[in-house]
Amino acid sequence: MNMKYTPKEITEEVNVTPTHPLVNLGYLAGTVVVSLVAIYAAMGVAVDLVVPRLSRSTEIKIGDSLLPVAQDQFGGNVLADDTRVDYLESLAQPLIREELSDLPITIHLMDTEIANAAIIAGGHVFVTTGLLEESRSENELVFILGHELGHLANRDSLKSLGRSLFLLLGSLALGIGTQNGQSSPLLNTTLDFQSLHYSREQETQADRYGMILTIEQYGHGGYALDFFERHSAHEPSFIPEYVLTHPLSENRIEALELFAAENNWSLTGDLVPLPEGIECPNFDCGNE
Amino acid sequence: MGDLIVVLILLAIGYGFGSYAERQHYKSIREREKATLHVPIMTFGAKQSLPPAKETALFVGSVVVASDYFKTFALALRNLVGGRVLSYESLLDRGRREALLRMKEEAIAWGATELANVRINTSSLSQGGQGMISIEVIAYGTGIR
Amino acid sequence: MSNPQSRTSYLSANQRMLLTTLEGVPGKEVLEHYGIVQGSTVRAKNVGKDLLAGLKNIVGGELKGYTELLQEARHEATERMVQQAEQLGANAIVNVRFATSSVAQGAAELYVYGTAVKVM
Repeated sequence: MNMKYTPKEITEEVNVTPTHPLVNLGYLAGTVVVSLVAIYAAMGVAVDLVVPRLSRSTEIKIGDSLLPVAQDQFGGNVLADDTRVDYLESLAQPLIREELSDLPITIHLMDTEIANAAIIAGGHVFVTTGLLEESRSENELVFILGHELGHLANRDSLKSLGRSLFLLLGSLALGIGTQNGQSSPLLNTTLDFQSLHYSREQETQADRYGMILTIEQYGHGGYALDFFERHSAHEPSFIPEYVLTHPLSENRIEALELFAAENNWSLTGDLVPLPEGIECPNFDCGNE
Repeated sequence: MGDLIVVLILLAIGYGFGSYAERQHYKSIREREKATLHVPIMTFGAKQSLPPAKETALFVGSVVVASDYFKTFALALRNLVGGRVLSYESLLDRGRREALLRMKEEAIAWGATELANVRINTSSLSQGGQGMISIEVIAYGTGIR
Repeated sequence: MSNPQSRTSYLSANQRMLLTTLEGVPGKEVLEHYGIVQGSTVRAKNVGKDLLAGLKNIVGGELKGYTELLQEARHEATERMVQQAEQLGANAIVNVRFATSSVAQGAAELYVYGTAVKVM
């Protein structure tokens, strides 16, 4: 070989970017987090745009596909044949106003001690036996049912599904939402009903809706707020889920009293008693 | 939350040990490169007139390097964003230089005065990109004395 | 990092057969050539080494176990190539090239090829 070799050292690292690894990671994590937040926010906006435009039939389909998941997560057995369901339906029926007349309202009585009531899209109302045991009057049951119907009228359940709603709509379109009434594992893992919250504003709206229905029913709001009053005494030592996901009972009572005063509604009136044996299956408490 | 803590701990361990090992390795690489600088390694040889020599032999140096948790994590994030994967540049750079040095050191021990027609190959041992990330670098050439 | 040469040095193979990455053998003349010779072996890493490597993937660095495993495998491939060349009556292999490819999850092929020649 006729070439001369001159040993020379390469002193500068050109193949390695001099950025500090932690700076790099910070930049990457920042970019990813900012993008995710942006996407999350964009989907939130999209929910508000999409929900009011959903047709009734879509709402019913969503409700039906959610029903098994919701029942699973609510806990307790469904008491389908109980005569108390018929009673509750007879209570709810006169409360259905024109805007909900095209929705089938179904009552699901859940056998669990926790006093709770809820509604999901498509007119599925959940009432627990715990709530029935605790109730002192028909007035308060009517108010609670009215409150839930308020959520239904405002499509709050669909809104609170939020970002999962897109997944749900997609799975409905592809026909993978439910199989033979069994909730699919996909939906079960993506929808956690216990973590669904309504905003304070939505609760206030539903409270007012319930109040209006109660006034229409009885002409007064007496005993309607008993449920809150009982729970305001207990808070926060005993917090049933119904109250937990809602604003403080005390504040709600105040807001509703103000609302009633503005409209000159009376908050006193006669108590409509509950039927005998409301706390027992089929109103039958035995001989004791 | 628990998962997040585990990830953070692993990240800290990966960064701590990984960057310490990297600094030590680069220090060693630079020293050894300096010490072996007198023996030229070249990628030509095949089409040149052959150097006059008594003996030749094949020398191979290889190394398998693994990514640390920190680098793997940075890669996973980088996969979302796209662009230059900074954390792997140094990993591959270290692997190549280590493989070259191993080949060279063995050749020097044999008494080589130069290494001709050197080739370097890099291959990933972790197919599919899931699980462990390990890369093999091999350097080989003809030692002449 | 130490230099693990001992078992996997190519010098033993070099004693039986001249191996070079050049197109000829310096100082010698190529009399005739016998075409391509090749050696290959497919190796899988074992579970034990995988576990260790899994731990190593947290802190990074060299996977010595894998380095040695692949070195041995490559050495075996080279031995096979040399055997082929011996059958042909060659005394040198020129233009030797190595290749590694991952053929399946956890298995790699080590491949070496060159041209068998007779030199003097």
